[in-house]
Amino acid sequence: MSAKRPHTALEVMRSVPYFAHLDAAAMEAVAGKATRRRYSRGEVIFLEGDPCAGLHVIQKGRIKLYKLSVEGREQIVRLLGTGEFFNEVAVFDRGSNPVSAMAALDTTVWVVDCSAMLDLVGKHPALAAAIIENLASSSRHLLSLVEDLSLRTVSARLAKLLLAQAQSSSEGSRRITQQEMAAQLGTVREMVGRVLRTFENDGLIRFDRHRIVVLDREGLEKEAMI
Amino acid sequence: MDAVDPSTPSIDDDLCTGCGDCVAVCPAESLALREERAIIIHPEDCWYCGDCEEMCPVGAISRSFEITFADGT
Ligand code: SF4
Ligand code: SF4
Repeated sequence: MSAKRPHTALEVMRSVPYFAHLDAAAMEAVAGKATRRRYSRGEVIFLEGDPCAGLHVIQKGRIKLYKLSVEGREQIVRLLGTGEFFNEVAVFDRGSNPVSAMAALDTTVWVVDCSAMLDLVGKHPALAAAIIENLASSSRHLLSLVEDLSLRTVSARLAKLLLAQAQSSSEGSRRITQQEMAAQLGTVREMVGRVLRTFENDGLIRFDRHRIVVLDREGLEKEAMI
Repeated sequence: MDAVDPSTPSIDDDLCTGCGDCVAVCPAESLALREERAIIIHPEDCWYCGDCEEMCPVGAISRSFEITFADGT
């Protein structure tokens, strides 16, 4: 090959922070099972729902993990870069890929297929520990994503409710508590309070004692995605 | 008791445990404990800030709102 030798699998595995505590034997075992693949920017690496594509370790580049809704809307689950790995969920639950992966930049990855990976983890406890540590950190990230998403849908539904209430109060006033709003939206009062404060800070509404005044009807409609 | 006073939060006697958290937090000193229940002693001072509602551990306090458009339509 050319004079500029590519990274060896072993060098790449050593560069993965989560693998830092692996002993030499475990590191070599993983590297020995890894094969290199290159993807150009925009290229799909694997698709959600397809059989497990194996553990991917990024030598260089950037990966986008995403899910598509039925309407084709893309939700980015995570962006990953050099020295990170992904798709361990499918490896260890022996299921399909839980997300799709695309190269966001020209990217080189090393792939260890599922059965080889399961075998390695059985033999090298330090490798299992490294994988668990990474899984824990992803699950933390996902929990905050869930919170974000539910907050976003509460915002939309609350905006809609405020508009409907304002409309109907012009036909005769009726008062509503935050607890009642929460019950209508299937959430909790604290969440309603939080979103109302955000609306207030964004200048969409104003609290005027026992009145909530809609200041920016269009803004609220946008929020409600009407 | 059921009539909603437009200017103060309502306190549900059945839920209130008399912990006094709302009394402690109220910036207007509108609240007090009487017979182990929270009551509003100075409704005229209450500015409907919601701190008591926020604080109450059992959800006994609620403020109701009328929602209107700015132009009153
Ligand atoms: S709304 Fe504010 S001012 Fe009124 S009673 Fe509650 S804490 Fe006090
Ligand atoms: S905080 Fe709630 S439970 Fe405690 S005294 Fe006030 S109303 Fe009652």
